[in-house]
Amino acid sequence: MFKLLLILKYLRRKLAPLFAASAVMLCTAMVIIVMSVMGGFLENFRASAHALTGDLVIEGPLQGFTGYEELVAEIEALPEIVAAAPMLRAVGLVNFRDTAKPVQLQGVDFKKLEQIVGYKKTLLWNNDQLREHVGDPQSELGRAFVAKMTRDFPIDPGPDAPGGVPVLGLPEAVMGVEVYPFQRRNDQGDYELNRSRAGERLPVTVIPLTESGTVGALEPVRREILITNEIKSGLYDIDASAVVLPFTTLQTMLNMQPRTGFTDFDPNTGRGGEETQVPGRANQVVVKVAAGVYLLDARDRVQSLIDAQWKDRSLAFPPLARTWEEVHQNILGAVENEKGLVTFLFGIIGLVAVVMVATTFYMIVLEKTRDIGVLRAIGASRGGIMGLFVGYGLAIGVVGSLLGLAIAVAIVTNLNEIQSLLNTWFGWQMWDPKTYFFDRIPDTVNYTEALRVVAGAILSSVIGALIPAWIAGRLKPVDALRYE
Amino acid sequence: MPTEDHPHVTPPPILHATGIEKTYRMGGKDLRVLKGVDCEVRPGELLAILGRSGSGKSTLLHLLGGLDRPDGGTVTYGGEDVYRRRGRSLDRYRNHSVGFVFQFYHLLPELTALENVTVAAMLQRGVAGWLGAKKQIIERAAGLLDQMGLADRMKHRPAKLSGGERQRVAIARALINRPQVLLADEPTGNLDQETGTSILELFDELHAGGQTTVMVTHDPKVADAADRVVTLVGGRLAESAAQPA
Ligand SMILES: Nc1ncnc2c1ncn2[C@@H]1O[C@H](COP(=O)(O)OP(=O)(O)OP(=O)(O)O)[C@@H](O)[C@H]1O
Ligand SMILES: [Mg+2]
Repeated sequence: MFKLLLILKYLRRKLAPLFAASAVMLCTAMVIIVMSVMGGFLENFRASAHALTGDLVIEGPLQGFTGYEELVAEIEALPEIVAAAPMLRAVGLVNFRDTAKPVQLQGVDFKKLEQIVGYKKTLLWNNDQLREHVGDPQSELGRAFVAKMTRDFPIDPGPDAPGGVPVLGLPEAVMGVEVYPFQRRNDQGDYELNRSRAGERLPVTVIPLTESGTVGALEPVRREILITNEIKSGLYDIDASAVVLPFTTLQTMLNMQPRTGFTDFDPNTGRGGEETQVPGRANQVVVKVAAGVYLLDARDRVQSLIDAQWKDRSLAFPPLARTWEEVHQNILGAVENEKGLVTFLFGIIGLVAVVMVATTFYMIVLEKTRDIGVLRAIGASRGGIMGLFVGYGLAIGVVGSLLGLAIAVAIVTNLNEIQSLLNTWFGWQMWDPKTYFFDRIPDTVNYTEALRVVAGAILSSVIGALIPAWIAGRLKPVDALRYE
Repeated sequence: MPTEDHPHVTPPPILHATGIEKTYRMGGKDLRVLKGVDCEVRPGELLAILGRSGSGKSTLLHLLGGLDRPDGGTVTYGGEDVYRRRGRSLDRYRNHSVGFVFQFYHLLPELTALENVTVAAMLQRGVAGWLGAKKQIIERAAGLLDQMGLADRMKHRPAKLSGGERQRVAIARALINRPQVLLADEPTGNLDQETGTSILELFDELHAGGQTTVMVTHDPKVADAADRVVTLVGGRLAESAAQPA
C-alpha cells in the first residue's frame, strides 16, 4: 500500500519524473507519428496500386494470345472469381504538337473495368468541371464534346462517321494527368482545370506485332483519340504514362482483332489465299476475386486453369497469373524495406528510451537513498522498495506514453492543417505536394500499432526502472541512512 | 540475581544483546567499534546509552534495531535471535517490534505529517489490509499527533515543520505500530535546549505510560531521566549508575 501512496506522491512532487515522463512521451509520440505517416504512405500506395491493378492480372506476351474469350469465360465460372476482362497493353507514342512521348496504352472495356478495379475513382475531373472546360457547350462541337466527355464510360465509336463532326468519330480515352509533358501543379499541389488536356485530340501511334511477336511487314498505325478525362491514381508511374482507350480501338490499331483473313499462298501446291477466320488476341486479363478468398489461392486456381488450356498449344510460355502485390513487387518491396529499416531505427529509439528512463531513475534512486534507508529502517521489505520503483517506472511509462499517444494523435490528425499553418506563418513547407505524389500527408493513426507502441513504451519504462529499482532494493538500511 | 530476599523480581529482558562485535572495514584498515557488548533492555525501563562521539552508540542501536548485522554475538528479542531472522521476518521485526527515532528525524519529505506516521503502518499491509484497517490507523495516528500537540499540523509537510515538530512526528511514526521497544538515537541532538527538553518530557511521559525505551545520547543531563545509564567506552559497555525508579 505504501508503494501506491509514495508513487502518487513522487509523481506529483519532483522534476525528475517529469523529465522521465517527457522522455517517454516524446519517444512515444515520435514513433507513433513517424509510423502513422510512413504507414499511411505505404497504405495509400498499396491502396492505389491495388485499385488500379485489380486483384489478379494474367499477363501474356506482348503480341497477345488467342482464345482469351474462352479463358475469361472459364475464369469467370470459377466460384472464387467475381469478374474477369481481357485487356491490351502496348507501348505507344503520343504527340503533343511537336513533342513526342512514349506511353503505356491500355485497351480496356471501361464498363467491365469499373466492375473489376473501380477506375472511376481515379478520374480527376467531374462532369461539371468538364462542361466548364469544354467552353461553349451550345455550339454543335461543344455539345458533341460534352456528350462524349460526360458519358458514363468512354466508348469506341466504331468506324469514323464520314462527313460528321470530326470529334464524334473519335474513340474516347482517358489519360494520366502527368502524361502531358508540360503539366504543372499549383502551390497547393492541385491540378488546375485550365491546364487540363481533357477535350484534346491526341494522335497515338502504335506498332502492331505479328502473332509470333515480330514487327514483320506491318506499318506503324496512327490514330487520333479524344481525351475525355484525366486520371490521377496516386501512382506516379501510372499517371505519367497511362493512356486508356477502348479495348476494340486498341485491338484494331494493333491488328489483333478477330477478322477474316486469307491463308498463305503455297507455291508448291498452288493452294492458299482461301478465306479464313483469324481469332482475336489480348495480352492481359484482369480478374476480380470474391471477397474473403485468399488471393494466392485464387491465383493458383486461375494459373492451373491457364496451364490446362495451354497444354496443347505451341506457345512456349503460358500467360502468368500474378496478384497485384506481385505486379508491384519492386516498388512495394522497396517501401516495405524502408519500413523494415524504420522499425529497426525504432528499436534503437526504444533502447534510447530505456536508457533515458534508467538514467533518470538511477538519479531518482540516488536522490531518494536516504528515504529508502528510512523506509527499510521502519520495516519496508527489499521487494517492497523494488516494487516501489518498478511501480514508479510503470506509472511514468503509463503517464508518459498516454500523453505521447495523445500528442501523436493530435499532431497526426492535424498534420495537413499544421503544415498549412507553418506555410502561412513562416512560408516553410515541410511537405511539398508537388514533389510527393500524394498531395495530402497521410493523417490517420493506426490505433493497433499505436497501442503496440504505447505498450512498448510502458515496457521500456519498466525495464529502465528495473536496474535502479534492484539497486535500491539491495541497499542496506544503515548504509542508506548514512548516505549523504 | 533475583532472590527471595529482594522485594523486586527482575523480569526477563525484552531485548538482549550478548557479545556484540562490529568491525568496519575501510580501505584495508579495520575499525573495531564494538568489542563484545552485552546489553539488556528490561520491560518498561528507560535505558540511556552514553558515550563520546564516535564511540559506536549509533552502531549499537542500529544492531539492536535490526538495521545492520553484527560480526559476532547475538541480539535476542523475546528469546529469539533477531539475526537468525531473514528477509521479511527481519522487516517485520523492524516494523512491529521496535520503533526507531533518528537524530535527523528522517521524515519522508513528500508526505504530510499524518502520512509520515501512517506510512509505517502501511509497510506491512497490502492494499486490502490497509483499506480494512485504514480508519483505525488514521485515528490512532491522529491521536498520537494530537497527544504530541500537533493536532493542527497534520496536513503539513516536513519542510513546513520546526525541528521539534518534526521529531514529534518521527516519534509518532515510531509508535504507530505499538512497538515493544522504542529506540531513539540522540533524539534531541539536533534541537535547541528548550525544544530538546520538551522532547525529553515527551519521552518521560511515554516512559511513564510503560513504554520501554532505549535512548542514545552524549549529553549526561539527558541521562538524568533514565532508569538506567550505560556508557560505551572502548567498544564495551559499562553500567554507570542506577537511577532510583
Ligand atoms: N558504515 C561505516 N563505515 C565505516 N566506518 C563507520 C561506519 N559507520 C560508523 N563508522 C565509524 O564507526 C565509529 C562509530 O560510529 P557511530 O556512528 O556508531 O558513533 P556514535 O557513537 O554514534 O557517534 P555520534 O555520537 O557522533 O553519533 C565512527 O568512528 C565511525 O566513523
Ligand atoms: Mg551516532
